[in-house]
Amino acid sequence: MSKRWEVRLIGTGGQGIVTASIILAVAALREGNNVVQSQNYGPEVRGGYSTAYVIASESSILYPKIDLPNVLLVMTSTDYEKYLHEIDEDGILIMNGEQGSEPLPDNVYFIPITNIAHDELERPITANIVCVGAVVGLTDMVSEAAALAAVEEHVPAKAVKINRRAFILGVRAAREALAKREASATS
Amino acid sequence: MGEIHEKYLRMDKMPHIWCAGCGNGIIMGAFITAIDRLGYDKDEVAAVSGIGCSGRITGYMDFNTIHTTHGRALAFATGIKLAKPRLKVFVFMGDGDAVAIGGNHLIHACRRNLDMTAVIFNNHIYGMTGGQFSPTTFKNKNATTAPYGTTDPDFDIAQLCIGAGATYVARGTSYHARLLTDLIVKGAEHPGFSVIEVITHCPVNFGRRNNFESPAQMLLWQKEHGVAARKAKTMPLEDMEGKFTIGELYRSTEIPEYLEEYGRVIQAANEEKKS
Amino acid sequence: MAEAKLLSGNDACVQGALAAGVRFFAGYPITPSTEIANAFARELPRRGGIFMQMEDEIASMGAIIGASCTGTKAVTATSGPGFSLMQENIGYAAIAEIPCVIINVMRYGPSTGLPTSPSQGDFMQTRWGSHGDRPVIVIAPYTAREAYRETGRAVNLSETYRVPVIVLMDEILGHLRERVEFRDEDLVQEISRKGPEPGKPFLPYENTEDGVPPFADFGTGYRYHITGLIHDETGFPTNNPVEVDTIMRRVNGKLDMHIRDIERTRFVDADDAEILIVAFGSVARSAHEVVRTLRNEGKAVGMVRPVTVWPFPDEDIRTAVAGKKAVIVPEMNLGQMVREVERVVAGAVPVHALNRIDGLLVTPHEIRDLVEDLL
Repeated sequence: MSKRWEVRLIGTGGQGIVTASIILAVAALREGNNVVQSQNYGPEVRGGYSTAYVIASESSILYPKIDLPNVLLVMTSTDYEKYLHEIDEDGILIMNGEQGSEPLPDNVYFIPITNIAHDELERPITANIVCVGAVVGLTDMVSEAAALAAVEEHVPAKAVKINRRAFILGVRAAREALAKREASATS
Repeated sequence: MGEIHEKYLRMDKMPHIWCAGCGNGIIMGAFITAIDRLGYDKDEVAAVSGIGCSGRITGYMDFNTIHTTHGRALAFATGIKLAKPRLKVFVFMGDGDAVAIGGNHLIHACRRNLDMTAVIFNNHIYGMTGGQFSPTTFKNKNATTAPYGTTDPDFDIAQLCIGAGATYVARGTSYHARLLTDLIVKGAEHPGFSVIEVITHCPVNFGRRNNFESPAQMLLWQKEHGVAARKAKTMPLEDMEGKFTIGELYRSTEIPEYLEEYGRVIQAANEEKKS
Repeated sequence: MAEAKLLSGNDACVQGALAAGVRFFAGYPITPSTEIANAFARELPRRGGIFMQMEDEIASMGAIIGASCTGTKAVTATSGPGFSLMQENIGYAAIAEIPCVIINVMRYGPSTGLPTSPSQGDFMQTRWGSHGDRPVIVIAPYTAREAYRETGRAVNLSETYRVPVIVLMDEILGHLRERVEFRDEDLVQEISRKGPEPGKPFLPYENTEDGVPPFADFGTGYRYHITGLIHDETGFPTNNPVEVDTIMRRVNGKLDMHIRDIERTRFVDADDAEILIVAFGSVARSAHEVVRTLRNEGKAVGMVRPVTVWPFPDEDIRTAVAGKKAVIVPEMNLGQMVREVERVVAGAVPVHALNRIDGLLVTPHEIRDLVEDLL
């Protein structure tokens, strides 16, 4: 890992955003990196706004906050333009939803996270693990193997199988989005 | 009596600071008599007190003693008992300690039912600060902070403790000293949180301002107004007007003692650790 | 020592306390310290210890003092509003010389303030929060790893010097999780208070040469008296001016006698720095970041970080600032530690406060701007 990865996940309370960030942090840690994970929340336990952060770097992490992340994943909105100024200049923006017909900036990806969890997995609660897959598929922050191991470690024993699938579907959706982007760039 | 004094009091700390005619010495005498009857080893007794005239009792008695902060004696005692359950823990409080500043601690100690005995000196006044009304001062009494008579309704400490879940509640007086010893013995033997409210007299800061001419007159008032609980049950309600019951008022063995319950927590935690 | 793991500052405190032999916790839930209570509730019963959720913070403080009277190492944890409530009993522990540790995870105040936002607004309160002159040791870690080690050290200092010790955290450090890899130097020893010497008459508040009297645990055969009234060497109340003066000077002076053992100050590129940043807790992470960045650019900036913030490290600061161009004191408050720095520096070097009170951490960016202005 040559760069300092700064990932911000925005969701609503109860969506498992904090768990997703912990999984990313543990995966990065197992690969020998320094990590800091944290979160902001409103006073509500469920339904309020929730933001989780992961910083991963080879060098020690002193300042533990993120100003402009290089990965921003938004679960709660499809209005990507609103978030374009909230990422670093070389950062990517991952929106939860289906891509419309209009052309997107190069650094914006739509992944239907909620739909995958709801329709393909039939377990809306796994959306946060789809998120993890999406981040892993779109970046080289951590390896798939490390991330999958961390997923298995952080979900209930009886739900390992479904969450493994959630992760794989997240990665797959991310790869498809990347491939589509490359195809449109070469055409 | 002399022998008991020698055995349980720190005689080098005498004379005590209590005013002539104060009821606190009677309560201390009843307490050490109770300890003697219980046969507890002095090393195994922890005496915890709050602030005010009653709080000074711990300095005079030859046990493990701690004079804490105002109203917080029960909190300190809870830590002592939980950390060393072997100790016999007694808590001494005044009415200000117990039901004003420390009222929250009292009701929660009652609710938890940790095996300790609280002795509450209820003299219906803040004595050490010179005679301000307390939550147990009756209506229309005089106090330095009630120069035109008190307006606040008063707490019934024993009933408050029963309501909050104490499993042994009794009321004695500084007049009925022998009964008081019996009640303290029973409270100590009761496995759970026990409260002994003691109606006592403060001749200097309550009596003087409220038409009691002498300490003896205050003791007589206790004699005339304290009605044995058993007798009170058979009396017409109107005859109890202005009087109070004495003796054992409530006892329950249905609620488990706190540390017994905590034993289950330890067991569950250890099972989880193993698995 | 152990493999790397993800550990929060709050959890690290608990593990450090347990490693130092803490077996009693009493507390009341309050953001952002609640995770500490949660972890003790899980861990203590497994170790034969007691976790107690009390009715409020006053009771929590009373309960840990009571537990400590029996020789049990005891801790509580809280944040601003609860810490304010604890002050009277902290003063009690100080004058009755009963070991105990209070973890204060600072949040934004006054009053209910911003419950989930960080602050360093309790810096002065930790030192002066109770009425009367009283000693206290306050330790402010800046990483989760340090929170582990320093909480263990807090327990040991409390036992050694019979003094309340406050572990001063903040919301950022309490809630962040980070990679922690314990090494040998992180090993927490178990140190217990010294007891009465067998065969020697026991004076519970003896004016000993080292300033610290022996402590007899309740129930070990020494029947003595503990009180918050000013007392003589026997432990009983006195108002004799000579005796009052003697005990107050011993109790308030005992930490000075052992100051080298208590102080812990960390220096980062301080020797040849022109500009020196003095910072503690989470803000020191931003300051450290600035030093790292600017040193890479060849700029002469350094940092002094008091880990033991009280007693304030007068000598360390005085020596470090000598000959510097300027000193910067960034804080998440309106200027508390800066007063101590100014007192010590005594006009020898210009001191610049950098204060942030919007509920956010001072950023490296704003410290850097000030450093560059001053260089």
